[in-house]
Amino acid sequence: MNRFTGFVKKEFLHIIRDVRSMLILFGIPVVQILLFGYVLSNEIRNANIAILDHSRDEITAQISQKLIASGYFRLKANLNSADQIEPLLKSGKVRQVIIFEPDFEKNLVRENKAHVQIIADASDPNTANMLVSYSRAIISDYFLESAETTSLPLQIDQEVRMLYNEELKGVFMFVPGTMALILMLLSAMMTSISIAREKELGTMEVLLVSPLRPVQIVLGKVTPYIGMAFINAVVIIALGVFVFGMPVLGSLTLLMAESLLFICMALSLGILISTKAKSQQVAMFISMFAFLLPTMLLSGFIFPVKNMPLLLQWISHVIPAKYYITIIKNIMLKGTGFLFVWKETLIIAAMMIAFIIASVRMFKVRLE
Amino acid sequence: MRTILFLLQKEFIQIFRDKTMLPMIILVPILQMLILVNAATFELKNISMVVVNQDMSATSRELISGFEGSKFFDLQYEFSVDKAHESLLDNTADVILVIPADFERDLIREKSASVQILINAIDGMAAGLINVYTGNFINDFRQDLLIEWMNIKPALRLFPLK
Amino acid sequence: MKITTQNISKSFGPIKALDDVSFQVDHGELFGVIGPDGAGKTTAIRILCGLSKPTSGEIMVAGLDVYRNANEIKKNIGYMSQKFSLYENLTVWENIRFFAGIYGMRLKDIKLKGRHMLERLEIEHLRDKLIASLPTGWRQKLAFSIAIFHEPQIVFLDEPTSGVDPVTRKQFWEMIYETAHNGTTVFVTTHYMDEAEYCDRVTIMTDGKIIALDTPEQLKEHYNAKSMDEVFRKLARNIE
Repeated sequence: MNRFTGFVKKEFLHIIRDVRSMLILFGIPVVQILLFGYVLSNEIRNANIAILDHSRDEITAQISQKLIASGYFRLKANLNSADQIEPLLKSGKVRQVIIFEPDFEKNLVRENKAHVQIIADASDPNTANMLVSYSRAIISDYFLESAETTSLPLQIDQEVRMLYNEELKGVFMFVPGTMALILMLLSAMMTSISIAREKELGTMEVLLVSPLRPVQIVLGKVTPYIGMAFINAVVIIALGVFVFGMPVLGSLTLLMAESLLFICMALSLGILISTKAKSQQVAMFISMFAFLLPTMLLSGFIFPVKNMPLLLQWISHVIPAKYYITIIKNIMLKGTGFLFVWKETLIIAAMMIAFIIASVRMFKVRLE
Repeated sequence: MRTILFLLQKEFIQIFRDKTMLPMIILVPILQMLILVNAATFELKNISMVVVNQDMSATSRELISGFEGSKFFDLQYEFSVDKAHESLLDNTADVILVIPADFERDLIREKSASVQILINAIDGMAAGLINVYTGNFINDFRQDLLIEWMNIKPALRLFPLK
Repeated sequence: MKITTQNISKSFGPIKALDDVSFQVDHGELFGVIGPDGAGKTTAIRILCGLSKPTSGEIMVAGLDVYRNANEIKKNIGYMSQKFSLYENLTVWENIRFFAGIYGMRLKDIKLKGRHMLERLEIEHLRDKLIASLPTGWRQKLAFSIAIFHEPQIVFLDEPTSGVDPVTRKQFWEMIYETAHNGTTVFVTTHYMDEAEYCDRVTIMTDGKIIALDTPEQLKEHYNAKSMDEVFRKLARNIE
């Protein structure tokens, strides 16, 4: 035991003394979560639009007013001719132009229909899609509310409740995803790199010759990172709660316990990588490419998994972050207990055990 | 100038001889493109909707069949709101549509009725879209009803052009 | 402690790194393994330390089989690898404390012995300096002192003097010499032929085989050579 504590102490010294490690450990997560929270937030708020109103009557004025009042759009320009549309869209100053045909109100009264044209900058198709959907919804809404329709019978009143995120905040998506990404990357990358470094320097051999058992070596390497990653988890959750207003509706203890499990899983994965990687560079490369991309794309962090092609959906089942994200969302935002996340918990635990068994095997093979 | 060719030659030999880096250099970008292009979509196709139909009338069934026929919605059915709520909690559903008892009776007698729509809004953007899609369906249904029951052609119908 | 190896062979695929090697190292002996790069020296030392398993053959250290009794043997051996083996971002003292600690020494003993060791090396003033800031010669001497700090009965040194300047090399060999004479068995590999002169007995290896094993004096006499370098050249010629 005395030997083991000495080992852990040495690992701590390594980490604390290395400015780069400290930056990676504590600087990057904070920057990342702030970045994701503020910049990458995908809410649509105050998108710049322009309106070309050929009719300039009372109804078009009211519709325009309603569009602006929704908060989704900000009127950047009132146009006078169609020639202005293209340069304006090209310049990127507005993302959408709404055009009312001439004699809008008259047509409406006479023929019971009128035309609105929506032109969106679809170079970012996702946003364009959203903008058009919102515009359509707001315009339909106007007619539903307008006096004539409300006076019609057969109203179907829709009581809509946005559960778990009443204000539709984007950070509710990004904070859990970022947490998973950071813990995954840090834990896996830091352990695999630090073990690979011992190999590269030749100190690993000295350790293997010593009376330390391989299990002790691995545990000694990993223990400091469990502590560090755990502190990280606390920092990230605190940022989410105090900076971005995420609630923790469920049990904080359960949340921390699940985070600890996820960290241990990621660390075992790091050990597995290090049994394969001969140098720090390779370890770094594998962790970056094997984890960063799939975790970002296939975990449901940014893009909903169930809209992806079937093949990618299958792959997503082996992405550990996917389960952790589900767990965090459930505990923090839905306030559910263990009963609703036991499946995910079990999967992460199973992954961890599989990684440990695989690493032990590989470790032995290397000694042959 | 010739010397740089030797340097280039050496670099290429090293790159092609490296058995770990080469596949990475070639495979990673290809995989990245394939995954990114296919994964990066906010489009909603399969909205899981749990329907709690407490009315069990011809009208409510007609409303539901509208959703059933749509490619946007995958429908499940529950008898109690609590049960439906659970499927929101365990992530098997995105939205719950509750059609209260007396939906049809209210429509006939009071000429108005209500439905409840509960959306999992953690993904705020998706929730916004789900709200729009669901709302559009219900409005369409209402306009069909107006024609069918009262022979009223809705005064204003909107045709946004694209 | 004695080391006995019997018919050890080690293959990496089609390449035979060690081919039917047998030798015995006596208690307190300074035993040198000399040969060019690729002769199998490092493979031999890795097998003796338990870092690698022989394809066939038997190794007994102090009458115990290396693989079956690894834990008891490990406490009693020291090892200094070919690559530099102290932690650069730890201080001199932290390195001492760490390596002594993993060999199970008590902190009180580490403090006392550590102070003596630093005094002997005349580097007390460097106690709290990072290893990275020390000149290479000092690092190497310190690495050796740490390898024998827990007073192992056998110490394995894998090319300890490669890349070290001639002056330090000489000082280094004096340290090794002294250690052996204090009763520690020293097993050392090198590709510098002149270093063989310091050893009690020398084995010369090429291509995974032992081609000569005796005291430096006997070897020189037998091959009628003035130096070990000459012995080696004559041996190499014989093989061809």
